[in-house]
Order: sequence, then C-alpha cells, then structure tokens
Amino acid sequence: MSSIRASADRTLLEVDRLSVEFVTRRGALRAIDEVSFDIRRGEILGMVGESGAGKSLIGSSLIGLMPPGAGIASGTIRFDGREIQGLGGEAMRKVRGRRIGTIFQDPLTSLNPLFTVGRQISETIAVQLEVSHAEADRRAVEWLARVGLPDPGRRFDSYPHEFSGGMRQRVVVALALCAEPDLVIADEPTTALDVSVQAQIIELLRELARERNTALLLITHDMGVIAEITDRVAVLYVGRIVEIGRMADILQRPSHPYTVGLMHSIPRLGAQAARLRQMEGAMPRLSAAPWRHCAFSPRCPATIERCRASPPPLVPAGKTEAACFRAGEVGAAATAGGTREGEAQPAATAAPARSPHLVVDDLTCHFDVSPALIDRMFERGGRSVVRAVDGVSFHIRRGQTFALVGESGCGKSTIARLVTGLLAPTGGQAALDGVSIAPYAGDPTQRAALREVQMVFQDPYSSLDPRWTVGKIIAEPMRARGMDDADGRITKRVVELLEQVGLSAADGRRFPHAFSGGQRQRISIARALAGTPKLLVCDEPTSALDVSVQAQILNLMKDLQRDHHLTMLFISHDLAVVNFVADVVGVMYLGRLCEIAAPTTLFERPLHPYSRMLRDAVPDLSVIGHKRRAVQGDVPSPLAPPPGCRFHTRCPLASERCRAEVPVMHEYAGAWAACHALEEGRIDIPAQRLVGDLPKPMPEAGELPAAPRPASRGWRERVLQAR
Amino acid sequence: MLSRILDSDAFHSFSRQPLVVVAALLAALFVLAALLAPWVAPHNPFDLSTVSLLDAKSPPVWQEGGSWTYPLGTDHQGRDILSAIIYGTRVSLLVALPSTLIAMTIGVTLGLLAGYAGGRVDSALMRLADIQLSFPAILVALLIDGIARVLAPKSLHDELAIWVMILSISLATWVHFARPVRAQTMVERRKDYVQAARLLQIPAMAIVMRHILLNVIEPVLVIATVGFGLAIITEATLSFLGVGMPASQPSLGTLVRTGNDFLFSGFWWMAIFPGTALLMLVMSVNLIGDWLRDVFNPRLR
Repeated sequence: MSSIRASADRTLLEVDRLSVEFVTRRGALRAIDEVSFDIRRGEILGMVGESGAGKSLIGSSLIGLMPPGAGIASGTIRFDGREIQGLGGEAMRKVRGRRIGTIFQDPLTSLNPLFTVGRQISETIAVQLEVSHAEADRRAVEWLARVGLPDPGRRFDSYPHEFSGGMRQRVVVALALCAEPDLVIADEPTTALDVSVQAQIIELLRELARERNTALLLITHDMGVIAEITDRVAVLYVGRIVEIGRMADILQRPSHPYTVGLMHSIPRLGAQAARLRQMEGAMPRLSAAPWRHCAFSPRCPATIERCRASPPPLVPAGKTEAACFRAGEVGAAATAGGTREGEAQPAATAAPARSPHLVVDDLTCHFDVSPALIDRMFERGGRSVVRAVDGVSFHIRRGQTFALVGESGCGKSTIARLVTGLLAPTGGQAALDGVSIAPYAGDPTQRAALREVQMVFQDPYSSLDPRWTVGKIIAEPMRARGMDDADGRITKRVVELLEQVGLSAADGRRFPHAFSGGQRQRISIARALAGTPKLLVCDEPTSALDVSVQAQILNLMKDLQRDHHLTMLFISHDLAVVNFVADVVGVMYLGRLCEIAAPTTLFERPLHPYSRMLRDAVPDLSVIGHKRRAVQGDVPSPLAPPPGCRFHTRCPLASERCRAEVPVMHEYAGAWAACHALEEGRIDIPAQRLVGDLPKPMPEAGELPAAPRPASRGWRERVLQAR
Repeated sequence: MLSRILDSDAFHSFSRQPLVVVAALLAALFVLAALLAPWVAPHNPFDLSTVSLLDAKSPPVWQEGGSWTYPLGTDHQGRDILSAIIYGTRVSLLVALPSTLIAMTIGVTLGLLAGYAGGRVDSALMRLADIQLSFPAILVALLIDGIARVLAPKSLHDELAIWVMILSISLATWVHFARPVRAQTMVERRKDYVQAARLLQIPAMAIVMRHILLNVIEPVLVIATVGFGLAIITEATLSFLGVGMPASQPSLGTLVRTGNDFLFSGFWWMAIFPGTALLMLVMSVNLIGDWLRDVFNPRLR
C-alpha cells in the first residue's frame, strides 16, 4: 500500500473507450460513447456538462451502480491496474466501499434517517477498515471534527434530521472519506446547497483531498465549482468528451466551439452586459442518435459538411484536446478575451417614470405553523410562527427591473406570491399604480389591477398543465378575460406570441411533454405575456435551466421587457443573473431587506456585511485560482429568527446593539442599507460610488392609497368571488 | 390511429405479458357472453316450458349419465348450468357496472372537493369517509336491504333487489375513489399551472374541472377496474348470503348459494362451475387492474 502511495504520479483510474447503452424496445440508445480519460493519484478531475450530457452516468458506471436498463456496451475501466468494469456483487462492493467513495447531490437522501450520523460513519469504518467498534467510534468522532462539525462528541448521537443541509452534506463527505478511499466520486456535491454553504463544502473537499492525496472525480454543471477546485476538466456533450485539458486552459483558451459557447453563456459579476452571447438550440435527445455524427453540429456556428458525416475524434488543439474537425481555427477565433458582445449598458435605458409603479410598504407574512389547538392543550406546545416576510418595503419604477436576491428561505418567493395575490399578507400593503393589490378585499378595481400582474414560475415542468396543448395554454389568459375567438383573434395572437418567444405556430398544437425545459419556460413566458401584464413577476425563472439555455431565456426576457415596457420583479438566488437583468437589487436575509442598490454598485462595493458575504461567495471565473471566501455558519431557522439584526449570528462586526436593536434603512453614497455598523461608521463607506444616486427605494407618505379594509378571506373565497 | 395504439408503451407492455393478454381475452369473453346471452346460451334457463324436472341433477358431459345437451350438467330443477352461468354473469355485471360508476362519480366529486377546498370541508368529508370505512360493505348492504324490505311492499322485493345492491355497493365503495383523488388533488393544487390559472382569476370550479380533473383521472381508472372486481365479489357474497339477487333472477353468487345446498349430496357441479366462473371473471378483471396500475405508475416506467 505504502509503496503505491509513494508514487504519487501514477495513474489511478484509467477509462478506455467506455460506452454505456440503454436497451429499449426501439433499439439501444448510446448514452456514453467511447469516453476515455484517466485520473492520477491526488488529482481533481472535473467533469462538466449540461443536464443529459451523461456525466452522472459515467460516475455511476465506474462503480457499477447504473440505473436499470443501462449497461456497459464496450470499453474498459482500470482502477489501480485492475479491470473493474465486469466486477459484480461482492468484489465490486469491496472496491466501492474501501477504495472508491461517493458523494451524492442530495444530503437529505444520502443518509439513513433512522440511524445516528455517528453510527453510520462508525459502521462504515468498522466494516471497511476491519477495526474494533470502539476504535471505529473513536475515528468517527475524529472525522466529524475533521469535516468541521462543532462539538463532534455530542453530535455523534444526533440524527440526520437534526442537521441543516450544509451540515448534513459535511456528514456525507465524512461518510465518503472515512474508509480512506483512493478515489472519491462527487456527483453535484454542492448543487442542493446555498451559495454561502457551497463554498464551505468545496473548501472542505479540497483540503481533505489534498491532505490524503485522494483523487477526486467532481461531476457538476457549475463552472464556478470547476474553476475553484479542479486540476483538469473534461467537458461532456451528449455522452462524449468534446474537450479535455488543464482547468485554466479550458476556462480561458477553449478550443471546442461548445466549450467556447458555454463559457460565453455564463453571466458574470463585473460590468453589466447588454446581452449574453448565446448558443442557439438545445442538446439533442438520445433518440436522435447524436453519436453518429458530431452531436454539436446542429448548434455549431462553424459546422462544415464533414461534421454531419462522422463524429470527430479527440485530438490535441491549442492547449487542450478537443473533438472538433475545426478545433484549431475556432479556438483561435474565440479566445476568452471577448467574453461578451455589446458594450456596457448605459445606466438606464430610458428615464424611468417619476412615480413608482409597484409600491410595497412594510409587507409582512407570518405563517402559523402551530400544532392544532387540541395538541397544544395536551402537549403544552406553544404557538409557533414562521416569519417568512417581516416588514419589507421597496418600490419599482415603471419599466424597471427590481431583483430580490437571497439564500433559500429568506422569503423572496413569498414576496412574489404576496404581490401576485396568491397569498394574503398578515400586515403591510402592496399597491400597483395607486391601487392596493394586497391585502385583497375583492372589489372590482383591485381585481382589475391584479389582472395586470402575471408571473413566470421556477419549475418549467409543473407550470404547464400536461393535458393541455400549448396553444390552449397560451390562449387561456385571453379567454379568462372574456375575449372570444369568433374572428380568430385569439388564434392569431397565440401564433404571434409563440413567434415572439422563439417558437413556431406548429408548436401550438403539441403538448408540453414534447418540449425541453427551456422551451417550456418560453411557453410560460408567452402565457404571461398573453395576459398583457404591466408587472411581470419572475420567480427564479432560469434556476432549473442549463447555462446555455439560461442565456437564451435571459436575453429573451430582456428583449421582451424593452419591447413591452414591462415592469419586472425578478427573484433569484444567482447574483450574476441578477447583475445581468436588474436595474435595482434588493438583498434579503431572513425575511428582511438589508440592502438596496444598483447592481454594479452592489457587487463592486457592497455595503452591508451580508451583501459582501454573498458577493464573496460567488466563484469568479475570470480569475483562476481565486478562492471564494467561505462564509461561516448556516442560516438560522425562520421559526426563531435572532432578535435585533437578523444577521448578527453570522456577522463578523456584530455588537451588543446589533443583538438587541433592529437596524433601519439609511442612505449611504447612493445605496440604501440597514446596518448598525454602517451607521456607527465601523464599516468604511467607499467614497467613490460607481453609478449615480439611487432615488429613495422605499415608499414615502402619500405614495400609497388608503389602506383597504383588512382581508379576512383566504384566496379560495377570492377566486370563487372572482367569477 | 391503429398504428399509434400498436406502437404505444401501454400496448407494448400489454403484449409482453401473456397473463394479462389471457386475462383480457377472458374478460372480453365474459362480457360478450353476458351481452349476447339470449343468442349464445344453449338454453333459456328461465323459460319454464323448456325446463324439465326429468333432466334435473344431470352431471356434466364427461361423467357417466352426462349428455351434450347440458355440457356442465343441470341443477336440481333441471336447468342448464352453462346457460345459468351465462345469464348469471349478465346479472353480476349489471349490478357491478352501475355501482362502480356511481361510486366513482361520488368519490371523485367529493375527493376533488375535499382536496381543493381543504380546511374544514376536507376534515368533514374525510371524517365521513372514516365512518363509512368502519362499516363493511356487507353490513351497509344488509342495512339498506333491511330498510328497503320494511318500506317496500312484499311484491316489489325481488324487483327492488338489484337497486338495493347497486345502492349499497356504491355507498360502501366511494371512499376508495375519494381518498386517492383527494391526495392527488392536493398535490396538483400546489403545482404552478394551477397557480397560473388562479392568477388569471379563473373561478375555482373551472380550475378543478378543466385542469385538475384530467390530471387525477389516471389513478381513478385503475381503482375503477379493481373496484369493479370488488363489486362483483360483494354482489356475489350478498347473493350467497341470501340478501342479494333472488333465485328468480340468479347472479353467479345466487347460483353458488343454491348449488351449495347440494354440494355434499354429490352434485358438486351445481356450485363448483358457477364458483369457477366467478373466480375467473374477478381474477381477470383484477389482473387487468394490476397491469393498468403498473402502466400508469411513472416510477415503474
């Protein structure tokens, strides 16, 4: 063992022309096509690709845990000099536990909820390393400490549900590494986590891998994670490696047109771009037999006849290896220097109207999650209230985009539901053009005003009724308004809308399942536009999409906003996306706004410590080797938010006052923030701000209509009444 | 159209499971025979002019004393067992089909209502369902039968029997539809397409009918198939116990009951053949139901 370890450069895993096929009744579908790569000891290889590229399948085929129906068709997998592709049962189990560890995406399902975390780790150690139980317990505590769990001795006896998502993923990391494997396969280990927690896990993985000279195969769709931690990167496209090389080369000097396009589609912090450079189309489905030719050729700007005839082999091109007939030319033409087309956007496209369009004043939404009265009487449990939104005020000027950013659970989606009337607030008010829309009392002016509010949802798979044709879905808003189709008006408008969002008239006759995620999001946008909204609320509209598709949708939304002069409330957890679309950004933390500023100002010179933390947690693709600063701690539960400033538990500058007194919004050099440290001058306020003053983003007296009578009815009555 | 059906996943999974194919053929045979009873049955067992006591208790054809006139033998009154089975199947299906449809209508409606409205409406309906479930179907049927017998004049009893059966079976089984529909409705209600419809200020009733109903109907088809088998069994059980179909209008259950009296006298065919027919009918329906469940279950796809 030690002699092997000594030769650090030896190849640990060697995959040679591996093909994996799904057997279906319509013939075999080749999901992985002749993929070859190797990993040396201690090396971190990133495997990146969009959903459906086959990256997870490669990971699972290495350890023989493929989904049912899939099988290795040809090729070899050599692990430490031994072929393991045919190993079954006991032999594979030994390799899998002892030599190859795995980390999966979802920390919720990778741990057994019925056993304490200590026992799960200790059992793995006892079985794999064949040590006594007492020794295994001792080492398990050590591992818990090593992955950064506070008070590991006590946490040993905790169950998985007692941990937060980030802590749970730390336990999963400990579980994967505790048998001291030579290779760890991490499949999207940070995707389910918040940005600030992501950084912690990445840091942990990197340290542990380096410390023990463990090789790591990191499977992810996130270029940021790749940029931070990997040594080499393989780019996958429909089951084939299209480019492989050193990380810095792939990110900065890619040769394959797909990698070039992918790098350009990623929105970044920094100067605001007018448009993202986008790749057209989407990844082909396996049923289209994309392995017969260059799978990227239908989307490629440099396609030649040869690309459609046969698949190109992986050949050295520039500093990397790329599978492209024209790799040399393409790489030279598109060096990473020109990352985006178009010049920086002027501060604001047009002078926005003076009067705010949407006014949100001290909006509050508390959810009562107490147990039923009878249970409270017997179990003496008190009332418990989730303070999802707790006194939020902002306004949006006509034609502008206001973005809300924050980690999951900060209440940003709740605001979207409050503003659209899907949820009733427990306090405060929202008004559209001087008409109160929340709370909703059901009078006709309110109803008419709410009709001007439409929404684009996050999940493109659940936002369209699977039983309706696309045409019918898009026509629904018009029919709901009583428009009749006697003269074919609706049909005509549906075709118009389909074309506006980049689909064709024929698509109107198909059902949602025939479309990809990005196309469904286009349909969703078309439906929202069919209601001729003045305010469009977008709740994470691109977070379920791949980057190349995200670029298309973001560009589309920006174009449509300009053409229709829409006011948008844009909700996202992704700072780079927000930087691209927003005119004004509000940063939320645990139900409260902590800073409101223009995006460039916010991301170049954040004021509030939390904004700073969020900005620092975003991986920077342009600076290679940049370490994002890991944020300490987790978001506290909104069931028992900390008193005073909500952020004080994680803030490096927290003082006694922060712990007791709620900070209010003040203006600091053109941005607005609620922070005691800023107020007291404990944080330096940059003298020179980048853009001009932001008008007061909160409503003033007189901007609000008279408060309507409090809404005592739920949405059900509202909808019933809307008849 | 035909080629699309033949190429669908459902048909594919159908043709690959011989047991399901046999079950479907068997079920089709029963339904056809029941529909065309007057033409396919060799005798009319209820036409007293053709029944002769001299032929009573004749054994099936392969036993000594059997004849091809009565392939499965005759009962104690000389009626042909095979024809009685065919007519009996007809009566069984005539009870099971409407009672399943009524149970489905009640169950789906209340399930949608409870699932979409939630809150107190949901609690009330589900408590009602709990109470309903605590009475077995047989008990409900006995109760309704008892009430009907008290209220209706004696001459009408036999005519009323079929309606009593349909009513009691549907009342006893609507919960099987309501519960899953309620659960699925609660899932669908939270989906964004319903939220989008709410944003358009579409009335709740229209959202339920146009959007949700179609999305919860698949499991209902499965439950209906299994429920149909259950209804046949319940009817047979009730008839066997003597509270179901009268001897003048025998269903399969009635035939088993009357045959049962002669079982230990050596005339086994009177009970065994109707019993076997009942078993085959219910089993084939259940097999189709199980197959439908697999086809509609996305996790098994």
